[in-house]
Amino acid sequence: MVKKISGLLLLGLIVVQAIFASSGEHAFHAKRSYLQGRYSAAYNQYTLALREARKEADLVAEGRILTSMATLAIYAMQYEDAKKLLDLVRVNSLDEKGRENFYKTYMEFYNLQGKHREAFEIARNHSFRRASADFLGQAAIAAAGSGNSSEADAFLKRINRNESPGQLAFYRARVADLNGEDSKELYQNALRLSSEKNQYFISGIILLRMAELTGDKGYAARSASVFGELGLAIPFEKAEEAAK
Amino acid sequence: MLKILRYVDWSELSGLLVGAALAVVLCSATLISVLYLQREGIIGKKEYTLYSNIGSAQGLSKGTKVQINGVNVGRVEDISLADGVSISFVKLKLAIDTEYKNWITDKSVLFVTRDQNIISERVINIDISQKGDKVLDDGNYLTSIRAQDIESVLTAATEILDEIRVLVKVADTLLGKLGDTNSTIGALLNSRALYDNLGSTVVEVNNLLGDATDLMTNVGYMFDKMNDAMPKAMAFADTLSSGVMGLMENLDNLTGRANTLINSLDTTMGRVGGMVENLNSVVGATGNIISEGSQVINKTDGFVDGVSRIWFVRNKIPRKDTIPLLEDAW
Repeated sequence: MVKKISGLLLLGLIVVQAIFASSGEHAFHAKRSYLQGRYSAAYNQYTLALREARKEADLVAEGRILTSMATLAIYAMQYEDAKKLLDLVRVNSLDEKGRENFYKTYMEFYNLQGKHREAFEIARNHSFRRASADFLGQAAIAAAGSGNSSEADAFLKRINRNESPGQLAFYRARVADLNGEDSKELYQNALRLSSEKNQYFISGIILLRMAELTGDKGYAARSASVFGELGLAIPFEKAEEAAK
Repeated sequence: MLKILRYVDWSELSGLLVGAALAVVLCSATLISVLYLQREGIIGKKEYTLYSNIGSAQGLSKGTKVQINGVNVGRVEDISLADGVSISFVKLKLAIDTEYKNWITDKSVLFVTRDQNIISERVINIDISQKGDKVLDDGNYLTSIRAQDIESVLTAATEILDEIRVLVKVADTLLGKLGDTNSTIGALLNSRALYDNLGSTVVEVNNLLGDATDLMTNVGYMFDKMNDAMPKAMAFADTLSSGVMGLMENLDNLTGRANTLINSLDTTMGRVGGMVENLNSVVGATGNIISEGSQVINKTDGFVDGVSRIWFVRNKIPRKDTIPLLEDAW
């Protein structure tokens, strides 16, 4: 009897917590889902967080949430949805970290579609003194993709190798690849690190690119497994196509 | 998977919500009504049927109450003339509440009575004072006995008076025969042999009384013996009581010691009480410390809040960092 009452109380608390949680709490749960590779759940939790943020009239929170949702849409290769979400962000209302994250996401949006010039335009127009490894990495990819290899190297040098060894390895491989250099070993190294650090999407992307570079369909099949488990339909189909 | 955000316009659903609320209210009202009717026994009452053949159904009708010791347990569902019975009987069909089923057994009997006064309506009562072996099931027959009301009493009294009249007539005939020496009984009462036998019986009783006198003499002898032995037994009882007295004294000492022990226990408890009081004051002091700590934290919070408002600090910290970013260093 006591156990039943305790169970009901716990359930009640969970329901109350889910109903009356703030945007920050929903976003916290969303990030946890993202780190666990449950992208769809993360997106739904960000949707709840967005509603709460709008209720709270908190533009910083709203901008950060929209950027995170756009990132997930980019990973799902649903670029139209991602563009709509990014257009909803009031950039001027964001704090510095939020703004930097917004431009990083925009560069990633262009880079993944191969539109490196548009991405490089963003990198040139927006600079941040203590930029994150991801911002610098996307800027490096944009620079390399648009034929500015020296600037790409400059961006890579600014990445802290002690804090972000995995990100540095990945962006080095991407830059080398875009520069037309041999990047297989660099990708191998980046894959090892992304696998160790549970960077699921990056692992999937590396495997897909390695399949294209080596012609080894085993990589494509592994990539399809990664995207399939992440529930990303379009990347999964793309990897499946490469595995045939 | 990832989908475009959808918004629900609640104003469009207001009609539906009102309808849903009305439906909930109607359902609740219906449920309450059904529960009330069920509690009152108007609907959902479980009954089973019993039959009984009685001599007369005068004063009974459909719906007449059936009671057990004054408690309503059912009603008369139908009354008809019984088929296949040699004597003229009336067949009663009784609807009995299932909850009373276990009370009515093959030893239970049914009779007609009046439940309030001699002129009130007739009811059917079931006497369950005899515990039977088998509980009567649906369709079984219940034995009936004579009705127990004023009409039945008067009828029975008339019958008894008739029987007394017959009895008096027979007694009169018997007394006539006793007085007549020509009859067998008269001859016996006037016979000499009967009185001779009575005399011999008296002599035997006299002899029996002589034997009883001898018996009493023996009892007197036994009491003499007891008189001699009793002082010894009393001396032994005296010794025994002395021993018991000693034991009682020891017990008294033991009680004194127990009393001392309880007193010391009382002192210990008093000390424990003092300890609890001390602990209480310590807890109070701790509460004050926590309260003061809370105030210090509040003040620190205010201080940090104030510092964060200084312009060169304000630019260094995000305005609100409750939403974690997806990117992490790895």
